[in-house]
Amino acid sequence: MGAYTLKRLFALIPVLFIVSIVVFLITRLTPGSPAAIILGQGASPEQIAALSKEMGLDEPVVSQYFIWLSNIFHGDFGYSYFLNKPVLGAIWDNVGPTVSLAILAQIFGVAFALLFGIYAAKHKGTIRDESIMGASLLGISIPSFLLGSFLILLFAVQLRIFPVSGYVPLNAGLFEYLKYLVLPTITLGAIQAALITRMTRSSLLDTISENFVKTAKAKGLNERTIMLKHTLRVSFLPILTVIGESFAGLVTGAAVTESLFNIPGLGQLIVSSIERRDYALIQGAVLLITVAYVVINLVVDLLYAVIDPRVRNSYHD
Amino acid sequence: MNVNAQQNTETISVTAKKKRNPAVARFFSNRLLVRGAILILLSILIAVFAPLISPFGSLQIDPANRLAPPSSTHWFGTDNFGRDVFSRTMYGVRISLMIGAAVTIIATVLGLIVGLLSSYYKILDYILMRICDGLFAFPSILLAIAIMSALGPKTSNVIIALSLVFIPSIARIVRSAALVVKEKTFIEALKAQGASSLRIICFHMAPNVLSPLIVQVTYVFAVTILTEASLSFLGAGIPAPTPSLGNMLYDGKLAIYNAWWMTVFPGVFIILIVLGLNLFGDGLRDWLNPKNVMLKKRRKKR
Repeated sequence: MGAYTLKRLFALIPVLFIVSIVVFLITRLTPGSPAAIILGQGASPEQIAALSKEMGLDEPVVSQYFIWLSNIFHGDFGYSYFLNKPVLGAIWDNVGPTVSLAILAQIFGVAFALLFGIYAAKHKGTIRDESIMGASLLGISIPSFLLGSFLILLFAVQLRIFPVSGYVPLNAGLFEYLKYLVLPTITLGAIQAALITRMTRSSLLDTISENFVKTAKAKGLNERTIMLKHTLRVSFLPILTVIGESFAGLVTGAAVTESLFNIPGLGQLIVSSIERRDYALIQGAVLLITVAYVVINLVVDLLYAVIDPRVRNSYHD
Repeated sequence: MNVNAQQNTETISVTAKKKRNPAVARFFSNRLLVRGAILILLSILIAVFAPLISPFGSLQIDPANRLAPPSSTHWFGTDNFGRDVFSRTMYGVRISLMIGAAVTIIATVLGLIVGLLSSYYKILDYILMRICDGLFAFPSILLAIAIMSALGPKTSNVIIALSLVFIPSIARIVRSAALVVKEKTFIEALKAQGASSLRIICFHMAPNVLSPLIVQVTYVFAVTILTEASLSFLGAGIPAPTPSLGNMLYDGKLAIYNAWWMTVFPGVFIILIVLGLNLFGDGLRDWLNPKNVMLKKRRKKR
């Protein structure tokens, strides 16, 4: 297991190297000097030259990259001239709502998906199975912001059960906190639920026809025990992978959901920094989210190997 | 003579009916594929004939009729500038499909080249696949947002950004299929005959990776349309006033209290297009791999 973990960690190095180059290049792709953009239209050439020097823009591109990289290793992600604070601080201030939303949406998605996936697999081929599968196909075809808009129209504008938008931190009371997060959670969790439902159903159906399940039936175990203790346990591996992959959807979906519901999270921070052309912030946020995503996927892969020894033995490439 | 000929054609048509091409027969017996194809055909027709079926121009404003609910003149109502939502939705479908098609074609061609080359040459494989892994590590909307923020909001930039985002997913599928083909005996035979690498890659390996590629392409098409809509919704995609289904929904959000029609109608069309592509993709996978369906049927019988 240790060797497998090491191998996977080494495989991460080239990936992160490419990621860092791409993120670095984002600001170099822009027409015009970043210094000119920060200072605005009224800046004199002398001011631009001074700021360029301060930002290290007069160095060759390759050395700029290494300076940028070494700063990041020292925890310095740059400075947001628009928010007037360090990038890392700005990201930290906005991370709470995003994490709350992502966790709630993932819980909602997995709970719903297991329930409906097991139900659909049990009643395979019936109208109940087909309607669940139809609903899940619809679920992956609706963009989250659209589902969110429909939910707002129905539950906030027409029925007035939930607030249209906004966010209340947890220390203002659990009830208020949850009341504001119900619609965003459903918005973001629905696609996860749809994806995981499909995977759960097909993975269960693959296992149900295996011999050990027949043996369990022949032994006279009841259906519930067979499903929960035998079938689900074996089918959980592919389900786990989909759950891991769906974290990417959560992070990016959160950006859209936050901007729809006006939640002050990472997503909204990124969207508003695009409007302000605040490149340091965009770079920092994109880099951190991508690294988080890569790490989460690694953890899922390692978990996978813990559960199923065949995975770590077959990894030779 | 005449009667004879008629009889002949009749027998021919009867045998033709009996011996209909099995692939065609399977196409029509595949409900997913047919339903998906109908939805896609419908959206293509809307896209092609958008100027003919729209009663108003997509940018034509009518300040007296701002935020008017659906009526016999404005079927889907009007927006905050008094523009006709029906006409804008038709043009929006056109833009969404055009961008989806452009991105899919570019990403497919480049992804195919990258995938084939890296399956054939070991050194290229190492370099190209590491770059793909790196690009693949980004959540797709985030990468698109980052590229768009650098290039600036322009329709052509949306196409560039999304193509870059989707090349790796195509390249990976092509590579893994091509690696299998490469080990087949006929490729070895071709090498022994002295066929050039270019010839082997273009004429012998490429046709053999088409079926997994086509399935992946329909999904990329669907995801492209979703991603473009999300980008435009966030204000980082197609710039106003050009109507795209995404930026119409952005306008709809601003008026959600007063004008539900600005959200519902463009939304329904996004769902129809993406649902059509997803159905078509699922159906196509079964159609190209009859083994899967046969296995399923056998299992059902058991």
